[in-house]
This record gives sequence, C-alpha cells and structure tokens, in this order.
Amino acid sequence: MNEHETAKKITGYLDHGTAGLKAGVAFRLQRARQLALSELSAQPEHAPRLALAGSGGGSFGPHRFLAATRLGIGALLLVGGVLAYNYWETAQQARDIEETDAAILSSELPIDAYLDPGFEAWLKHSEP
Amino acid sequence: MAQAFRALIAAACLAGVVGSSPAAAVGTSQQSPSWAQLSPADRQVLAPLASEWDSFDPQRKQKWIGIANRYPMLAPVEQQRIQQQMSAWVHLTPEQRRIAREQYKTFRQLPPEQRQLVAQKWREYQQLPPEKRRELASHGAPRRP
Repeated sequence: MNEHETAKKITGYLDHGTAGLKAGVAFRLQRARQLALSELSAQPEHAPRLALAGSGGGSFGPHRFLAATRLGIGALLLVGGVLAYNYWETAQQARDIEETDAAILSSELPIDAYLDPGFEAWLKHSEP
Repeated sequence: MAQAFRALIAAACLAGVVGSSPAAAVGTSQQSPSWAQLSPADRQVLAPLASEWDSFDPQRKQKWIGIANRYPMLAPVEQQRIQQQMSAWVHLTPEQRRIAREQYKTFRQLPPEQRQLVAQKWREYQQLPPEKRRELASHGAPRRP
C-alpha cells in the first residue's frame, strides 16, 4: 500500500465519520475553527512590533517604552550606586585618618618619636 | 537600544564627575564652620588651633571636629597629650604626617610590653647628649620620601 492509497483510505473514514455529526456538534466545530483563524490573523500585528523593539526601528510602541523605562531605572540605580560607594569610601578614609591621628596624638610616644630617624637608629642599636 | 546605551554612558560620566569631587559635597558652611560657629565644647578642646582654624579646609575641620567628639571618651592623660601635641601636628608637612601615621601603625601592632619598652627607650634617647643623637640621626635609616 503506497502513501496515496493510505491517505485516500483515511479521508474516506473521516468523511464517513463527519457525515453522521449532529447539527450542534458541527456548529461548535465551525465556531472553534473561526476563533482559531481570527487568532491566527491577529498574530502578525504583534510580530513586527516585537521585531522593531529589538532592531531600533522608528516605532515607539508600549514594549519599547517599557524597555527604555527599565534601562532608565537601571541607569539611575547605577549612578546612585556609584555615588553611594564613592561617598562611603571617602567617608571611610576620613574616619580612618581621624582615628589614627587621634590615636597618635594621645599615644604614650610623642610625635617626635615617630619622626626622629636618630630614635629609630637608637632602637635598632639597642636591640638584643 | 542606542538611546539606552547613551543614557548608561551619560549616567556613568555623571557619577564619575560628581563622585570624584566629594569635597564639593561637604563644602557648605555647615561642613566648614568658622571658629565662632563651633560649639563651646569643641572650642575648648580645639583651643590650641583657634588662631589657625578659619584657614583650614572643610575636610581638615571635619577631622578635628571628629577628634573633638572622641575627646570626652579618652582618659585624662590622653586628653592632655592631645591638647599638648595638636599645634605641633598641624604644623607638620603632609609628608611628615604620612610618615608618622605609618610609624604609629607599626608601633600599635607591638604587644603592650614592647610598647612600654619603646616608650622607655624614648626616655633614654632623650637623655643622650645632642651630639650623640645627631650622630645616630646621620647614621639612621633615611626616611622614605
């Protein structure tokens, strides 16, 4: 049995089966077909819009607006993050210097001891 | 998409420009108070700096205000040391202050008994004749620039 004969046999069975369909069933099948076709015809309207959003075309549809808004928010968050980090780093450096200077000034050694090269040599000289 | 990239680049540039000048952010008069605008408590602690205070930049003022805020938490002997050394500290060059901070960090890492030993050595060093100290200084390790 070749393909053509098989197809002919299948369509014969289908025709035989549909011939006995009740009127209500046939109507529902027709409506389902129309609905499927109407949805199919609506799809091409979406497809070009999505394609344009990605290609940088001239259209400014809702998808493109949403993408631009998201990127705008992302850019603002980036700026905010960089500024916050910079501020924190500067403040941290200032705190470190403040803490060190307060500790130097209040330590048991006077400032001169940290700066006198003779004292450094004296310490090395007196090491056991 | 190209617009979005431009926005991102502009945002990064803006962050760089604004972020690279933190001094500008603290340049208000509130951040740079004159001597008269300081609180009485701060003026009392920072009294050795009174004549020079108004010539300090905002960051330097903020550092000293921070030190004044720490002051009440220190022991009386530490408070006395700070007030005695404040004026000498502000007259050091930035390079000398950098060296002193480095040396202090090394000193701070020593165990307490060794720190006491170093303090004892300093007192002994002070008793040496000036010519001996000069000789040690001339043979001492040159300070890094």
